[in-house]
Amino acid sequence: MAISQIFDVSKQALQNSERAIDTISKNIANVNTEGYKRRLIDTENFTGSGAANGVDTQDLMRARNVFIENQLIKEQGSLGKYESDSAIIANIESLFGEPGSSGLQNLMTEFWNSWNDLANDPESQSARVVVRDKAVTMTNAFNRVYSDLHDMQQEISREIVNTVTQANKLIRQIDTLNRQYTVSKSADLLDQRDLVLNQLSELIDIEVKNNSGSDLVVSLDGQILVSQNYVSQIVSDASYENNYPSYTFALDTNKKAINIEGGSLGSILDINNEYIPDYMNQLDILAVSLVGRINQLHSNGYNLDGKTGINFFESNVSGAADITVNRDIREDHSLIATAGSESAAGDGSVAQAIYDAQFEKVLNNGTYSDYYNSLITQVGHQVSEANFNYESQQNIVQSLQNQRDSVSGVSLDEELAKLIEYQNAYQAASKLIATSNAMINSILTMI
Amino acid sequence: MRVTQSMMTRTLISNLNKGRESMSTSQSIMSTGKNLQSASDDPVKYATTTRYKETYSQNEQYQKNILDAKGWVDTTSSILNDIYSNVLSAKDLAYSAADSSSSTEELETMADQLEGFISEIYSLTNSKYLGKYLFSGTRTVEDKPFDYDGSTVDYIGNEGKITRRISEGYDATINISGDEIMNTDVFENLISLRDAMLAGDRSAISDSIGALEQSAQDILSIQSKTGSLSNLLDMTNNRLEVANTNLSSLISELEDADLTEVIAQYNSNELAYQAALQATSSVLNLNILDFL
Repeated sequence: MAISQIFDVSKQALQNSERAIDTISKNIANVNTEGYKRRLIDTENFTGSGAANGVDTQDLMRARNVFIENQLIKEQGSLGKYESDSAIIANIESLFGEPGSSGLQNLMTEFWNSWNDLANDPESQSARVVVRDKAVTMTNAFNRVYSDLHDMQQEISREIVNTVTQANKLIRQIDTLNRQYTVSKSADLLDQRDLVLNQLSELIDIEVKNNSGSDLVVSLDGQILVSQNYVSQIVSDASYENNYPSYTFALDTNKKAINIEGGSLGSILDINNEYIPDYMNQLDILAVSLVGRINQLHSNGYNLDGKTGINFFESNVSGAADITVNRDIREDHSLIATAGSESAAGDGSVAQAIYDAQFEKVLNNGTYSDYYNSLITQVGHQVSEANFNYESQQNIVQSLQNQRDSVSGVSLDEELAKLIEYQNAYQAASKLIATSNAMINSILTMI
Repeated sequence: MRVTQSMMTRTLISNLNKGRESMSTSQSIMSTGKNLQSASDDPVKYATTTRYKETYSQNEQYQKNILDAKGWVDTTSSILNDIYSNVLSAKDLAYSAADSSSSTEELETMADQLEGFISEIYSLTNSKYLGKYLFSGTRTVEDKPFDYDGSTVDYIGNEGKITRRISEGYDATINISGDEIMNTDVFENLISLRDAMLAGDRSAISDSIGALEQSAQDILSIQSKTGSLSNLLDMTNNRLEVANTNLSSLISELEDADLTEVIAQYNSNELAYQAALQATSSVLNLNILDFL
């Protein structure tokens, strides 16, 4: 063995240490970079041997657990859905303002009670004013809740369009990163792609396959969104029923319809297509039934001047949106009828019958109040379920993130220890060169 | 398990958030005194509480109705009592008139006195309570229900019933219609007594004593009806009172926060939060660089 060989070995050792320290410095620099995956120290020289075997070597340099990452993408879809559910439905719940003095529950009670007071004092004009005012307050509350729901729905409509735009942007980004990767083969591009995939998974329930190099396939509801040299965008379409938009989706490439169930888009879609229309519909049924029944009773009654056949509410209403007290009564409260016959001022039987209407089992075998309460309880259930799901899903996602970071995250302790290790190796290799140099010098002096 | 910086940061942040969240929940319970702030806090409890509150509010309404009915019934009762004592005085007068020693002039004076009783009773039957005629059926604000032209009294009210809802599904009739008073023949008997006095017809005067006695008894029995109604109102009111006391304690049990429990809970949350903060500061300060 020639002494000069020692130089080659030492040179190799110096280069190895340099490369290792380079990797360590990259890891330390990116300790807080989102989506960064710890680089493995390339002692076996992936770049050389791997490429020959056709393995995508850039990916091999990143410490990762693909199984957990795929799991995480799936669970993040659910997290996005539950998070959005719990925020938006809780918001809807607060629109109803229950329990509270300005909630419909209380205003309906006050409305009914005002009829009882009028039944006790049917000769009184001031009791009529109270009935009218309570009725106006109640109908205003119906209108307000309904229009708040309507506003909420419009906001959600905009949110749906925005989310689709956002998802499409992310899909295009993945495609762009794919293309860049085919050219530059940089592991940083893969980190970035994983980050974008994570963001996308919070919006829609994507499925990811072959997430290593350029073979990545991202699909949604069985249709491919992105693969090598292929990208497809989501197009939304709104169909209107009773002025209410319902959204469906398709891909722009093959025009196939897709169902979106998870992610925050899945959540707002459900809320828009099912939850809010259901709430609005129940309010409408309540309002229409109330108007019908009270008008029927009221128009059979007589007021103090012997007038009869007057509706208490405007009769041609479509529901909670436009329920309102009869314009004539709003202008002249003396038109409110109380008596079952003419010239019997002390007869409050019609007012009493209207008061009693609150006990009638008219809707789903329950009273008006039962019906409204079951709506509020339904919303409450949905909120508490969403909160519960959100909380437990947070734990699942957090634990998966920790498992992922356990493999992929940078540990400063580890990196610094390695830094010292390779620093020592570097010093040793340098010493080796100095020693061999000295050895050669000794031999040369022998001449 | 390999533990990295990002895992530690995530766990610490998430624990700090949980600590803040539970403190904020306890805080809002403490400041409102209510466990149940929206239906979503506990939908089942909410549904029950709402039902209880509804019943509570109905009971309050019934109590209000009872108070109102009580005023009406007690006024009716005291007026009937006045009518009764007027009839008794008229009867006493009839006894004196029946006495054979009284002269024609004296009989005429007595007839005048009797006329006074008739007018008194007549005006009592036209009494108003809170602006409404008490004995007019449901024609409470139209013309006077009783009309007296000096020789006959006519009733022009109706037989309508005035009711108050005093408990679930029970309407109490609180008015005495003028017909019932007419049926006692009190006016007819008094007027014929007066005419007999004016005519000096002693046998007719004696005959009228029995008839007047009957009228007085009839009025008394009407009055006792109002008395027992008044009792019923009191009893129902007491029952509603008890029901509402029970209901409000049930509602409070479901809805109100147990402050001792909440405060204890808050203290333990605060302790956990402080511990998390302490852990954060000491864990994040630990660094291998200090030891190299």
